[in-house]
Amino acid sequence: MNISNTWLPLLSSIVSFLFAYFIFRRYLARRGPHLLLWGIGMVLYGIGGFCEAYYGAIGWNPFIFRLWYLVGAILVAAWLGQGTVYLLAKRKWANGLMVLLGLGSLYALIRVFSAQLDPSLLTTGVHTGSELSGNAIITPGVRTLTPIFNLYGTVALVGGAAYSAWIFWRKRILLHRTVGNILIAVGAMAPAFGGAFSRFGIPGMLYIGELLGAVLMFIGFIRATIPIKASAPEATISAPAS
Amino acid sequence: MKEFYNPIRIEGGHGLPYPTSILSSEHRSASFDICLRSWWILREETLTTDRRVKKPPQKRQYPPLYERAVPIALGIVAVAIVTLLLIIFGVALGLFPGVG
Repeated sequence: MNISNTWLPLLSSIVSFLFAYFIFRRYLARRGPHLLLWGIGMVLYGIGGFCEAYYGAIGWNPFIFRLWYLVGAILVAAWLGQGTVYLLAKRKWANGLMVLLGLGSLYALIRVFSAQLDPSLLTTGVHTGSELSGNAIITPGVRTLTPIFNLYGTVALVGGAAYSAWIFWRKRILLHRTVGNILIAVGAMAPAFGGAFSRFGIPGMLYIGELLGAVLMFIGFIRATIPIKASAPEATISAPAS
Repeated sequence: MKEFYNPIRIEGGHGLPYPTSILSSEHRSASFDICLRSWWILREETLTTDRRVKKPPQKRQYPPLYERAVPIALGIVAVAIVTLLLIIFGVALGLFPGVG
């Protein structure tokens, strides 16, 4: 047990569950499918972090590994992104994509929980075995699901947050939402970059990226939901340069 | 003159006192028409003057720090997301065979 492979993911998990609590509380007050999906997404994020911490503290467990791969590696980004789709896209499109995501998630569940595993493969390639990785899955086709879900999730979540920030900035309105959305976009990219660095052989980056992502998205969410006070006005009036 | 009717006061103008009780309906109608015309001319002149001195349209702006920081941050996010998508595509297409 050490800081990088146990405490970092555990901290990510705690932050994620706390974040999910705030989202669900807002959902109960305001409703809206986007809040519900973000809440579910952060619960998945928290479960993923918990599985990583479990592996770091206790060691290999096939059920924990499958759970981690399903929620942490495949589903979390896509479900968070689906929340953004509900926020920005027409309800008809969002519902259609939701059906696809639901069916895809069910398919991923079946594939992951029926896949053959070999824990000795966790230490192959660039990996040292200190972090969980998909290398332990030996059934072909399972790991090809990951980039598909992550592509959708990244485009929707990061792209949606960046697009929202740009819209607010262009109109010079709701500064708190501009800042909040930028933080959410950066936070959403952090785990993806962490995973990429981990894939390229830089140890510990996945868990650091996940923690950074959870914290930044949490701050971004809080920032986006609380207007900036009069001491730092959200928008001032001035004449155009010309 | 027992009472006055002043249609202009509604618009915030100075108004022209108009005796309503001592004139016949015909006279009242003609006077009322003159009164309205006067009011209309005054109003048009006021509006024209207002338009002349009207300030140019104002543009909302964020505080200076955010005016600089937000576009830079958005640019970095845009570059990062493109990089990330390239990596994801690369992994999906098997361009990085030696990694996870």
